[in-house]
Amino acid sequence: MTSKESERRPVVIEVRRQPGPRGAQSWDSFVLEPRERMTVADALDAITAEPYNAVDEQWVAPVVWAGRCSPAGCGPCTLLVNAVVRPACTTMVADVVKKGRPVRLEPLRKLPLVRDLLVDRSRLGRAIMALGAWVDAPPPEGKDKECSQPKIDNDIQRQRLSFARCSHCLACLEACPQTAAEGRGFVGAAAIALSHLADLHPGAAHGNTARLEALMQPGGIADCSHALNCIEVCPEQLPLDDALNSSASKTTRAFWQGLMRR
Amino acid sequence: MGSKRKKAKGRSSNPRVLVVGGGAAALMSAIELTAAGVAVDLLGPVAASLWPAERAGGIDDGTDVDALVDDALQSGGHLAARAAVRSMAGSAAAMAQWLERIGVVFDRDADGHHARRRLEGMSSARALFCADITTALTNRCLNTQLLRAQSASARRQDGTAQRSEALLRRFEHHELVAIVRNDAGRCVGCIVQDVWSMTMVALEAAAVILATGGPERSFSPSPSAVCCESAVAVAAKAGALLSSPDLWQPHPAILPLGRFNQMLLSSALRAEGARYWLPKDHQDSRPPSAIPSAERDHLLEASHPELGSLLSDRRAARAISAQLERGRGRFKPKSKKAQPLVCFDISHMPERHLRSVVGRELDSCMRLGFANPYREPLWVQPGWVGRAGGLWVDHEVDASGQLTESSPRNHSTNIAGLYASSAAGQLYHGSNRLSSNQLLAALFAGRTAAQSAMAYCQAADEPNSGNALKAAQRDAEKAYEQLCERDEHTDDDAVSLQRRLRRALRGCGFDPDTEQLDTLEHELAQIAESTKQAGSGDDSSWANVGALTLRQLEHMLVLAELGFASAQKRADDDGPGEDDDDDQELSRLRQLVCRYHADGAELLGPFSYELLGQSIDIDPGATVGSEAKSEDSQQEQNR
Repeated sequence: MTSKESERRPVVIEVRRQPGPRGAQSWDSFVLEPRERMTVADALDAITAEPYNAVDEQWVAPVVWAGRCSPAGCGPCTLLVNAVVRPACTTMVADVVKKGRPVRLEPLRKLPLVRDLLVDRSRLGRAIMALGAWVDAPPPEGKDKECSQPKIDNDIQRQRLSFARCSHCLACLEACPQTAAEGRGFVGAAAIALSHLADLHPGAAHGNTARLEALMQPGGIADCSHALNCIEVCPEQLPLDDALNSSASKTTRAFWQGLMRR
Repeated sequence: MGSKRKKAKGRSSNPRVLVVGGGAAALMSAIELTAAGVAVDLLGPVAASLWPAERAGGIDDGTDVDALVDDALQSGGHLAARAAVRSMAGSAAAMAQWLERIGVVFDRDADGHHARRRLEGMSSARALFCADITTALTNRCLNTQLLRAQSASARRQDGTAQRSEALLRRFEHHELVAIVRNDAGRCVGCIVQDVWSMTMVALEAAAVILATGGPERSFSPSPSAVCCESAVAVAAKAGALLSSPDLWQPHPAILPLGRFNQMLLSSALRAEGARYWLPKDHQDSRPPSAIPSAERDHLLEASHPELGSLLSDRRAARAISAQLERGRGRFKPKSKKAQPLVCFDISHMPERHLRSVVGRELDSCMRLGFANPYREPLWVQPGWVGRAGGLWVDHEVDASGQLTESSPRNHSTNIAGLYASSAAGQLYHGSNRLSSNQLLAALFAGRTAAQSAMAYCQAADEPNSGNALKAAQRDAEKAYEQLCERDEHTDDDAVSLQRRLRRALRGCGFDPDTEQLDTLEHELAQIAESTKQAGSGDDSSWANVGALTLRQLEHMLVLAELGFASAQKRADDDGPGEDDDDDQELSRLRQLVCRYHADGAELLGPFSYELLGQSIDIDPGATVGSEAKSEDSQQEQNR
């Protein structure tokens, strides 16, 4: 079958439904006319406008999902497409349609479900709080006349920039074998990357010890099993292995130094 | 529903300020307030992850304050408040420095010094930027700073404090439903709705700051969790004045995406060298990349040699749409109703450089199936993306021609205790938001509004909310119940009505003529009629997005109607204008102030509006000295 033919066939989209955190799961099938350049987000838009289950032949409640910005750049529309974690806004339907099989959309499993495809994403905020992944800086004061900042090494600059791209989509958390659904388990690669990013800040030296201690708590870096699924699913292609390795070695060093001092 | 009612207590000991919004302005207000020890309720989703397209592309570094002021005033048609722009420019350097300190990674050149960009409307290269994530990263950094403050206060209190006394309470997944005024007309709090459990919550507040950004949902779909229109429309319904709701924000480079969506190309692309062109020969059917440079007509460079494609958004969009209206431009093959498109070309720049500074944006163009922008031009069109007008806000000017620091009047709407910062209000941008100033204005406005609100809380005696909050909560609950119970009498659902509204608004040209206005009026009336008939299509009592969409549509219509009314007024006053004369447009522009007459029964009421400076009818007891204020601002705003 050529790509042109597959574009012309109607697309069947199956969406996992759940009315609330404790409701029963069900599936709804929607049939869409294929359109040029249709993303999964476009498909969900079309379904929201006309929520007609074509298999059961009845109108159903509109699908609840975290909408999106203009394409790419934010994270909340991340969901499971055919059991693979992807952002809905940049995933083309044509790329995920397999011969005659429906496209199955499910919510992220590691985050508490709100309704249908919408999940509670507050876990990352709590992780940032727990790890202290920020730079200590008082609010702006005075009237500096010029924006002066010491020169920054190009290598550090590149590293910081690559981690700053984290869109908080939590695909890494979903793909990780070490994280659990109820917020227990490994804190997740995104939080570790953000903590590492804070460490890379030129003025961050004094915040370091608190962050290292937080990283050594249960659920911290020691829980990483180095499966590195996170790297494969990260839509921003963050060098997460760098963050994980460097956090591991930093904490190990801090641990031994702590022993020596006793 | 009633059993879950919550109410914030403890106002007498510690005034709470309610900040509505989740972007840079809201976070900045919250940071400023919490740093001063004022308790904050922050209403809105985690902005860090919900910020829409990277539109700003950089932030002015404030090295040349005069140039910043000139650029801002000029591109905004001299409608921005001079004193406010001057103060903002004076804070730019400190702001940029602080951003770097909290972790925004501004790009560096090979030597490790700051790299600078010349963005649209700038007379020199002054904008600091962080690849293509400046805005998103700034928001995330602000968010972590707020988390830091939250964590520090939690540590200090060591868990013994009651939740109601916490320094910062976040109400994510809550939406503003009503602004509550007491008998004296002062703002004493808000009714907000938890959009998951759908319960109404009454939040008492000493002051409320709206920082919801420009009301843009009517023009392009945005994250379903936030609706900027709602907050502005709720304020309008509570009696707040609007300033020029008919001044819309154009964008010169929009990629049409499917039937309903669009992708905005950032001004960073133009700063990195993108140019507009059309083949000189209109009949030329060669693919664009096959047309040699000599046979291309570079549109903006021809008409504006000094700035070229760096013309400010408004002027660029006007110039291009004037060309397209003359029958130039290409139509997409196969599409019948589409608008003509123009080439937007960055393929002459080295690919390696582009990948490092605007790679994400160009890659997502490719991912979405457009041409490869590294090799070929993209086909774009100018169009409307939001509103430049917003809530009318006051400001106080000191002797040096800047904003008086910590004056309770800065950013105050005509309702005492209700503040609007940044794009929700109208101070810094005039008729056009300059991309290098968007982020700066948001940060500065957030800070100024917070200081004003603090000054207001200190000066004002404790407002007596009486039973206003309880009554408002009951009303909101009743209104929501009615909304849910509404039977569907039409085939149109809220989502498609929103789309229809978007199409109707986008269909308006620059300087809409009588015919266009009549079409718009007709269409708005039809949409309003269908909206009254529409049901929510969802009977769930948990996370009922159908009902929310319907309510947001009603709010969008309030603003659309207000915008139409003032556009009509403008057209009546001015008569038809010339199409493509920038200077003439600037001389014709001025601020209109209008208000919404809420009689509660009608969804869309009649409007009254007058030119700023002439008497604005303000509720008796709304704010002491409002009339004097509007005259002040008239001197500032009417050139």
